[in-house]
Amino acid sequence: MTAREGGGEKHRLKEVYDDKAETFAGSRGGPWSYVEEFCDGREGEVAVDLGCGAGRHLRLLRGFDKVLGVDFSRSMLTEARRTTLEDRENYGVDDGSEVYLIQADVERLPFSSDSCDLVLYIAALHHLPSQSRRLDSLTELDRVLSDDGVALLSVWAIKHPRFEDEREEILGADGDFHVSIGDRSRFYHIYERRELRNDLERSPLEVAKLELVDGNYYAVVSPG
Amino acid sequence: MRESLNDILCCPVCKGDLELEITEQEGDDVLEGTLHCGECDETYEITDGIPDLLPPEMQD
Repeated sequence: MTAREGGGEKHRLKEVYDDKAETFAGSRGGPWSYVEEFCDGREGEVAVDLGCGAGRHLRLLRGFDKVLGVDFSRSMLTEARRTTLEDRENYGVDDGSEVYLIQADVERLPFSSDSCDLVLYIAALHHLPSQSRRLDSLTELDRVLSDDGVALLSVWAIKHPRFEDEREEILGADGDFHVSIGDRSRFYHIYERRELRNDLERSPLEVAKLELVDGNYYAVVSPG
Repeated sequence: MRESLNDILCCPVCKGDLELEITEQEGDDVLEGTLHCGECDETYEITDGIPDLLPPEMQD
């Protein structure tokens, strides 16, 4: 696929995430433990959660002055705004951290270069429907990270137990696969470890760590 | 969003600076307004406190 091909896939995916039932489901999950451990004790000025959905990880970023939740789905952000405002009422406004919600595309981020100290990019890169688009997004991630910034990203791994019966089929399609969740199907690129390492190495980012945990590959990266 | 957020925002397309125009605010929370890029002349809407900074062809 060339850079802008796959636009239809992305449009369909946005429709899935804008669906009210999906928003409701997204609002109930707690933070992932790997992400929680990674964020523990981290502080700085600006933290960003790319593909924040209904905001399950925003609370982990309270050590930062500004917390930016980014998603392409409006209804997910509306839900994240509601829970954020609820949090403020429950816990008091001034824990020192300001939360902002921004509708944006992970391939073309609306942030100045070198402006973000920490970026979470959890379970979103694998939704981009071509390698060139995934590389564009990794290049954008590199651009917005500050010099001593760090990012944690995760994607679904081919080794995830849920793909046990479909592994051959997925590998035969070079990792491009539609997964049915509820009554909707959505596009995923299912990564093999060496392919993720290869994509990260082709991007300007430096890889500090890459590991398989609970069926996801997690990578810790810094700007190159 | 708050006004101070604009310090780190830029146009998603050309990365130019954005000019904030506020139509409605509550305290320091900007509820309605626009962000305009002087370089590529694109305008992005802020509604219900959330700026829509999707590239134009992806906007709702």
